[in-house]
Amino acid sequence: MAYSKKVVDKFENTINEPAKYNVGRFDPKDMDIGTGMVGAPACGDVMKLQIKCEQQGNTHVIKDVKFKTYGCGSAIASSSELVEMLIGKTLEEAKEIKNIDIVEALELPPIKIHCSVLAEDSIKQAIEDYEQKQ
Amino acid sequence: MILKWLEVHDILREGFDRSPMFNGRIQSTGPRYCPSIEDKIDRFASKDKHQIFVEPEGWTTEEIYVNGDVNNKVKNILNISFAYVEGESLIMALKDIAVSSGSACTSASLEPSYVLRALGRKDELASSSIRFSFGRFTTDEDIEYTLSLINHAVERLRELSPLWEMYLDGIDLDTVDWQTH
Repeated sequence: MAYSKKVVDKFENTINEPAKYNVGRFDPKDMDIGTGMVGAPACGDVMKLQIKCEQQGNTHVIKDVKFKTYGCGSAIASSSELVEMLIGKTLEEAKEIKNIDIVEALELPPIKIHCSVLAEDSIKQAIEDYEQKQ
Repeated sequence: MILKWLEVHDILREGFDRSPMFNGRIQSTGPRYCPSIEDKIDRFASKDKHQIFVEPEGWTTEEIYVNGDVNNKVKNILNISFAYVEGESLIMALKDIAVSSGSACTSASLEPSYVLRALGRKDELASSSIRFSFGRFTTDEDIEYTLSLINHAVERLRELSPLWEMYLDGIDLDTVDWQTH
């Protein structure tokens, strides 16, 4: 299995310039932050995703995102790709993001599709966490 | 090379009863450093300063485990687990050198190596392992270069790792309720 150039580029950009590619943390106790953590060390994949949202009229918009990932190159690339898709979206739009969007953006092979599924799970959980705080 | 001060001598002397060199307990646990400094303070107690050597490679490394018995193993293979960093991501970050993850028999598989698990490594440490092979053409320069690559790669990947973050926060990963499918 060879890595696609997109995965390699995304992976390298993320590890070389973590701050620019949204690696970091927010305080999970803040009211405008939603946190999702999915996966398990025993499975070799753990993703932590945090969204910072702002209410605008009737909707909430994702203003900023921070993530951290323990996992293979495809997992790191998938979560990095996901966070770029999230900034500026409303929560409703974010809920529409499917793992297949990440698979297509990164040209993930079948054996790595589970990385994109985990990324989708992480955003769903982060949104859920934020919504139950409001 | 750095010189020490008298308060440091006293601090080290206070710990002599816990030092393997003086209490004879080979199976002690805890941080290790070269015991020659304790020997120097003891034997040359009248001197108010001594020189010690600091190896920069060890300066920032922690939570790194050699897999297998260090003495009774094949001499040209080194299998090391870098905790809180996943093996495959480390291979990608070490792209200038050819290495593998897990044991030789599981190198093509994504599963944690059953060999490492049989050696007592938990799944996450088994997934965090890298296997280095040396041969008769491996030079000192190759090793120096590899050391600097590893330090840089592990540091960068730990910055990305939620597990390393939790470790630094003092959270015991075994107590976490992981959300899996």
